[in-house]
Amino acid sequence: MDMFIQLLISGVLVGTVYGLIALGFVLVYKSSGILNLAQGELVMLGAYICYTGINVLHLNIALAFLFTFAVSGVMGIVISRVAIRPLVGQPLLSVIMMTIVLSIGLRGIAILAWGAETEGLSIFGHSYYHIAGAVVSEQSIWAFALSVLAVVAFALYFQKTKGGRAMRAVAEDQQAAQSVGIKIINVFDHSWLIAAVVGALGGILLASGSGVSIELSHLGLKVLPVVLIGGLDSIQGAIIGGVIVGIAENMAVGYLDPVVSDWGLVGGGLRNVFPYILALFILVVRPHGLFGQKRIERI
Amino acid sequence: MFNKPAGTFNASYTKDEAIVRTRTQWGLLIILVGILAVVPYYGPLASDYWINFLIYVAITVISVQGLNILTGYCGQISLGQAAFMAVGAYTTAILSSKAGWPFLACLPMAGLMATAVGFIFAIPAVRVKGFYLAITTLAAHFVIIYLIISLEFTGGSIGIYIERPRIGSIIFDSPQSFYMLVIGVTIVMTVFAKNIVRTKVGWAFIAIRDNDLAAKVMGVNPFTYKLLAFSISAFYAGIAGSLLVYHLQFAHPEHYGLTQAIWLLGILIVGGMGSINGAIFGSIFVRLIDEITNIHISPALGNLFPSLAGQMSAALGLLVFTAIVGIFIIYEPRGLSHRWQLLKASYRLWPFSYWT
Amino acid sequence: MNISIKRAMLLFVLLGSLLLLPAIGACGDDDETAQEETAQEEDQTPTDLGKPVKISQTFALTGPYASQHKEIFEAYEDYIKFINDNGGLKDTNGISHPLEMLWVDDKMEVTTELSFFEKAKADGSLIHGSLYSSAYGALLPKAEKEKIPLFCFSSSNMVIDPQRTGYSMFPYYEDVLGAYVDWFLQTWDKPSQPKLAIIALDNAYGKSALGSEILDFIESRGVDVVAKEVVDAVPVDTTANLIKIQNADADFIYAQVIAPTAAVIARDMQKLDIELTIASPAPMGPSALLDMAPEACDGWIGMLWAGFYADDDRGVKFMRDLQTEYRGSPMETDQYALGIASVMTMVEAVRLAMEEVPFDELSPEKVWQFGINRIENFDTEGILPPINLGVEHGYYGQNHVRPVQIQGTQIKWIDDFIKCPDTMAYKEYYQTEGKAIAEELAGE
Repeated sequence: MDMFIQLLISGVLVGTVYGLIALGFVLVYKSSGILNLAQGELVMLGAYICYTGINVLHLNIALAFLFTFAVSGVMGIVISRVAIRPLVGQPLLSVIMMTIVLSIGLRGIAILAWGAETEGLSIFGHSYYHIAGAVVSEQSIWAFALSVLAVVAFALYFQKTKGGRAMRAVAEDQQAAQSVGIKIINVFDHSWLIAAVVGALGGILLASGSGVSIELSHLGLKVLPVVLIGGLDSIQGAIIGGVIVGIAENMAVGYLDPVVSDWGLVGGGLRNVFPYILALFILVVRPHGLFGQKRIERI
Repeated sequence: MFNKPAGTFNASYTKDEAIVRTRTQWGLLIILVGILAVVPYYGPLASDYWINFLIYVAITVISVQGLNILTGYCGQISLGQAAFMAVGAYTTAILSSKAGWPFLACLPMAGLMATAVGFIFAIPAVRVKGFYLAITTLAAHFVIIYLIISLEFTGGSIGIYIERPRIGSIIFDSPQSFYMLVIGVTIVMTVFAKNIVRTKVGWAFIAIRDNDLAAKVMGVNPFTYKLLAFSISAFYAGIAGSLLVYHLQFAHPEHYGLTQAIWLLGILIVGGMGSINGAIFGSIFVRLIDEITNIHISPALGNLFPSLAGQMSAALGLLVFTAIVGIFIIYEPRGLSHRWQLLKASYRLWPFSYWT
Repeated sequence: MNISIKRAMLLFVLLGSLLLLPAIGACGDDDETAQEETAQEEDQTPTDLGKPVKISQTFALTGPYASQHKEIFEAYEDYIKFINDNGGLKDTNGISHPLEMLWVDDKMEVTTELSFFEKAKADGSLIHGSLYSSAYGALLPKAEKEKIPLFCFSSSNMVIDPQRTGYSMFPYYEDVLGAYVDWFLQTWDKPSQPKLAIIALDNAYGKSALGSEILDFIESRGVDVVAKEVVDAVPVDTTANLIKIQNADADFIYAQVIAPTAAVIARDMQKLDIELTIASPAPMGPSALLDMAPEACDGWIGMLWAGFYADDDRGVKFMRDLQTEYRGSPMETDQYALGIASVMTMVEAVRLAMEEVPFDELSPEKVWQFGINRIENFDTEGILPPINLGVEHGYYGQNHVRPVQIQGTQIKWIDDFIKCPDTMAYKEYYQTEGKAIAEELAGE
């Protein structure tokens, strides 16, 4: 039982970070209808920028965070203007391919700027706490707290501010939004800015555990099952999907690995693939994820 | 000999649909096949290095033709092509090394096995659309590669060595003979692809791509045809994988990464979706650029700037790929095959190019 | 209309500039071949000085192994500069030739690897090296056919079987694990059966620790393997794996991982308060681990085959001098040491062949016959124990490991070199069938 609680709590803690990253993903999708497969690279770049802020510019942690958000935000807007705007009205494959290509390019830029080595990024303390029978590290508590804070902040932003409302309006109906004077292109920039900032925060939080490296972009791929499960266009789906994936991963390692190991799958190693299997099953039952909107199609 | 096709009129539907319509085209085709046959023995490409490259391009062509039927004609995005290649490769490797099957049995079996696996993953995939589909095929990729790494009979992460292909008493041991074999298969598969897309099945694919709801109204069942497209595409991947593993003589899961799947999609875009020629142009163009940047330019740059050697060379390939595919997506979404059409049209209409 | 024309023009300008890249590349090539041709013409005259001797090596400077491979790359560069600054390699006529390394970053793409192999072959490389097993596997059949000596950095079991013209000078991963078990058993004084937990990376390198032969070997030593965990190269969290190990009541752990993985494991172990003996083989790199998780990695053991951990060591001194000369300051990384040992052995094979074979008759096959097959008790300036290669010497590379431990902010040798036990049947294979094949290949 001890193991169950530990796995559950670790899963929730890391799942919130996944949810946060998925939030950026969903935002871009909702406002511009683009599946941002470069989210993983935004995560990775965020971590690298923060690393530069701390280790090269010698900023303190709060400043380093602000620095990261500022740089990532600008990067988000640049991406939106250079790579995404020309694609309005292009076929689906072009759009998906563009974000994939973008992800490869961003990886190239990161290697050029920082090299391909793994660097440690330790910004949080190294103490440990016992909570409800589970041990959690200070780093994962920070990650959890900051993720929740960010999600709440964005929720307020969507409800209360003009920019946030404009984004919701565009997500609902682009033409109608345009007709009441919302500039869609600004909303695009906006959503990419937020995606980049959210990704960067996620990146810092993940990197504080596993170090800064190009491989962080693969961790970014974890948001894909998250959004498949939660639904591509649902913000609460992203958060809940994140937590589901976080827990599912840990449970798969804890309880399924020994089982499949007996079936002859050497060592198990289901951690990465299990969320995808789960997502496939959920898709068979609910093709739009758990919270995704079912659109009625007309000819 | 050089009469232009402008004066050719299609007097019947059969003629309109014919792949080769004029004598000039027949002539050119024969010359092309002749060149392909002679290349490994005479001329600038007659070295092991270039034959190795040509073999790889030909294998890529087969895989991209399959992807083209699924993505270019039927409009279904797939990131799982590399994994289906892996299925074909492992089928071949296991059958030929452990059961001693000959080439002519392994090759179709690899295709069929990939088709079967493709079919299984197509069932959830055809239920979803667009972006959900893209991620579903990604899931298929991860699940397939995971199974290959973890199962015992696939050799897991150790890999399987296999012998060169053999038909009867002929062993395709030299690069030249293996090249001939691969080119032969590539031609057959390309002709097959061309024929699929001009039959009823091909039209159904196009109808689904353009609007699957409309297609359904007109009596084309999207479910069946999407499944069919997935299966055909997986079959092509299986054949390509089989040839690749014969080429490498070694099967290993690391050879079939997600990058491969992305490259195949990139090639499709550069070549032009929905065009048989496009798959060929794209494969040659992208692989050539990649080859030259990776093998020739990046080490040279690394030697020029020794302190940055690692970074420069690692980043260059990625950035070049980004640049090529990005430029094509933004400026020429219809790819090289469209440029080829324009070129042909301008030749046909010359000197009265303003008539259209 | 105008816009589309402009776009089309822009497209073609951009494409044209892309096509220029190949042209530049091709020009460079032409120059090279031209030079070679002139050099070949000069071959007949005795004024042939400084025609380079070429060796080739691939690196994966992109991907999970990037950090290690960069250090290895630097080692190769430094050692080749060192050889050239000391007069290059002398041929049978006493003329010295500079050494040149052909290299490529293969980005872990096997096709790039193969393509480069063919190019290196065409460019006259005498000996080829690859760093990891999935690429090596695809090269070996080709290398064997043409009798090109092929080195591999990775020493998982597939590298050895079938050993014909392929070599690794490092101990097999399985044997290293065997050595660790034996080394741990020396200090085991409890009456109960010791329990081992294995953590493996999710790839060929990692999973070689989970092969059936090595597991049988461990069992034969009276050790119970209670947990077999598979983790990612850069994991987010390994808590679940470690709890399973804790619940299985393991006594010691072996982690066949790389440094970023080890950093996460170390932190999670600290979190869960697991204080067991834990060790990793050389590719992990204790110095990299110490960089990444200085607060959590105290006590971690490395089963290394080379490193920077004793100042009075002659190998360490050699490498420090090399780094001071070519890099400005010593770097202290374990992968660098492995790189030096590897390139040294490759160069030694070429040097030995050049003693026997006239320069214009040199070929990869000759290097294999007269170079590699004559490497006996080769001393890599003390970096590794003596190396034996080739048919005659019955054994392959060297099979010693030396445990090192992270103690606070220091890394220290904690024992001398240990000979690894033979854990797998391939050695019998090599003594019989493998040797016969190799001899058959060697004889004309």
